Amino acid sequence: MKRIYALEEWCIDCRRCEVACKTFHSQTRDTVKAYKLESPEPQSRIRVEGNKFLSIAINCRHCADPKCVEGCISGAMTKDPVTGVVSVDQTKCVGCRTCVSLCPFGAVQVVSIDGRDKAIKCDLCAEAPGIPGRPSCVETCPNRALIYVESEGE
Amino acid sequence: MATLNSDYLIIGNSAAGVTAAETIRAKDPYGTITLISREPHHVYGRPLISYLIEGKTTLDAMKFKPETFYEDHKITALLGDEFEALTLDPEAHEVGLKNGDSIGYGRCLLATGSVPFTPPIKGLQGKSNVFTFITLDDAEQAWAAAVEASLKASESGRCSRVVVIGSGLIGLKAAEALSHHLDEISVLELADRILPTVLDPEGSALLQRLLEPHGITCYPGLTADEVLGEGDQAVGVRLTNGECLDCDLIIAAVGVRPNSSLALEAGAQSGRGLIVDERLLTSLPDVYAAGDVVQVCDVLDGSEHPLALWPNAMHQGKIAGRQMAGDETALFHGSFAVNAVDFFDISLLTAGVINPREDMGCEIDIYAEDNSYAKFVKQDGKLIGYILLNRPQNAGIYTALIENGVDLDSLDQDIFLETPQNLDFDNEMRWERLHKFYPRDLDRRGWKEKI
Repeated sequence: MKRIYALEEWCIDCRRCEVACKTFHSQTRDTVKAYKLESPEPQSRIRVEGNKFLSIAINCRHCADPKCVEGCISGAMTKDPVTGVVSVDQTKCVGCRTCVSLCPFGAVQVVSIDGRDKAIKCDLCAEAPGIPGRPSCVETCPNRALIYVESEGE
Repeated sequence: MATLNSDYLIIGNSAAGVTAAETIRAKDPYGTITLISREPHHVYGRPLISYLIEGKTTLDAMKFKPETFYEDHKITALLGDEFEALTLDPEAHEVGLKNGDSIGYGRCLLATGSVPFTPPIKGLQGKSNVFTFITLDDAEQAWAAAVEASLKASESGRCSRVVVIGSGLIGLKAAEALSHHLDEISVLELADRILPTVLDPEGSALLQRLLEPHGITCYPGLTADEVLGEGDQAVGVRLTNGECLDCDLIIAAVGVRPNSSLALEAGAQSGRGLIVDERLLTSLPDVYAAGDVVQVCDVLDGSEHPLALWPNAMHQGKIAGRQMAGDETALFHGSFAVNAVDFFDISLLTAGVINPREDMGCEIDIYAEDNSYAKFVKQDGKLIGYILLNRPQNAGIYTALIENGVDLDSLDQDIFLETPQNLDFDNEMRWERLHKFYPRDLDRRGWKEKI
C-alpha cells in the first residue's frame, strides 16, 4: 500500500500539516471556519513533535498487523483487507482507549465529539471508509518532509 | 454417526472464536467451518454491555462484525441454547450438542471464554433480582431490573439502590452503567482496595475518590456475609462487619473462571486454565484452544494464569486460526496484561507488572497530581509495568517499551515525566519504528539513490 513517511531531515516545525489535516476533517473544509466557527471543533490526526531544531510529524502507520485493530473491543477499528487502510467507525467506537494503550506511536487520540469520547486517527484523507484519498498533509508540506509513496508492505 | 461433519468446528462466538473463523477462511477458501455457541446473538463486543446500558452504543452498533459476516465467510453459525456443546469425544473427533445432534470435526477450537464464579454467600442462590454481568442477556436483565427498581423507588419516594459484589473491572463497569439509572450504588470488595488486580493502593484510593461524586460508594475490606431476601427477591445484604445495606437488585461480580468443563471431561490437561503449547494445541489431538479459557504464560514474571482480556483473545484467535488452517509458522509466545477502561470521565490504563514482589528488585517511579496518578515499574533497566490513571496520552508508546524490552538508557529520561513521544527514542530506533516498509530505493532524505 501507499504510506505516508515523515522525513525529519526536512521538517521545519511549521505545522502546516496539522492545519491541512484539521481543515480536511472539518465540515466546511475551510481553514478559518474549521478553526474559528465549527462545533464540534474539527481535530487534526497528525501532530508535529519537537521544536525548531528537531521535529517530526506523526500520524498512523497503517501497520500490517495493527494492534489497535486487534485490541478494539467494539469492532470500530478495522484494517481494510484490500487497501490496507486502518480506519475507525465512530458510530461503533465507545472511547474506551484500548487503541490508545496499544498504538506504539501515539497515533490514535481519543477526543470528545459532541460530548462523547471517540477515537480519531489518520484515514489517508478517505472520501469513503477505507479508500485512500490524497493526503492533505503531504499535499501541503512545503518541504517534502512528508511523502506519500508505495511502500514495501501491506 | 455424526449428524453433521465439518472440517473446522469452533465452539464459541466471541473474540477468539470469530477471529479464528475469519482467519481460517482467509487461508482455506474451501474447508467447511461450523461455529457453535449457546448464546443466540450475532457476535457482539462483549465488553460493550455496560456501554449499552449507559446509552453509549446500541444493539446494532455493538455488533462486532457486519450483519452478513457468517454468510460472507461461509461459516455455518449454529447459535442458541440448543446448540450448546455438552460432550467432546477427542478420539472420534465428535462434539455432542444439547439438542441431541453431533458434529464430527477435523480440527476443533475451544473458544468458550469465561463463566462467572458464583461466591458461596448465604441466601444469594435462587434470587430473581441477582444478576451476573458477562453476557448481553445478563446486561439486558440487569438493565430492565434497574429501570423497574428506579420507577418503584420514585413512586414510594425513596432512593433506588444496587449492591455490586466485587470491584473488579466487571463489577465497576456494571456499577458505572447502573449509576445512570439508580441513585445509590454500593460496591463491596473483599480485598482492602478496589480493582486490586490492576491497581496499587494509591491508585485504588484515587479511583475510589473519583467515583464517589457519581453516586458510587466503594466498601473495600467488606463483602456480603448474607443476602437478605423476601421470597425470591433479595432486599438487602448483611456485610461482614454486621452492617446491612438495603438494595433493589444485586450484581454478583466476584470474578470469572475459564469455561473449560467440556475439555476437562474429555481429559484435557489443565492448570488455572487449559494447558496449550505454542501452537495453542491442547493435550487432546486436533483440539485447539484460544481466549479466556487458556492458561497463558506471563512473559514479564513467568506466572501462568488465564488472561481474560479481549486483545489477548483476538491475538490467540488469529494464531489458532492460522495453525488450524495449516500455517505452522504462527506461534504464541506468551503475553502480558494491558487493560484500558474508562469510568465516566476517568481514564485508566494499566499494563504488565503493577505490584512487583520485593524480591524482583524493581525501581518504581511515581508522578501523582490531584486527579491523576502515574506509576512506572522498572526492572534491570527496562519498563515492565505501568498505571496511568487520567494520563492516557500516547500510552501505547509505554506498552511498546514493555513489549519490546527497550533499554531505557537509550531514551530521553523525561519520557516518564509527561506524555511520551517518538522523539524520546534515539535517531536510529526512531527511524526504524516510524519507517517500516520504507521504499528500498529512497534514502532517508526521500531521494532516489544515485546509481
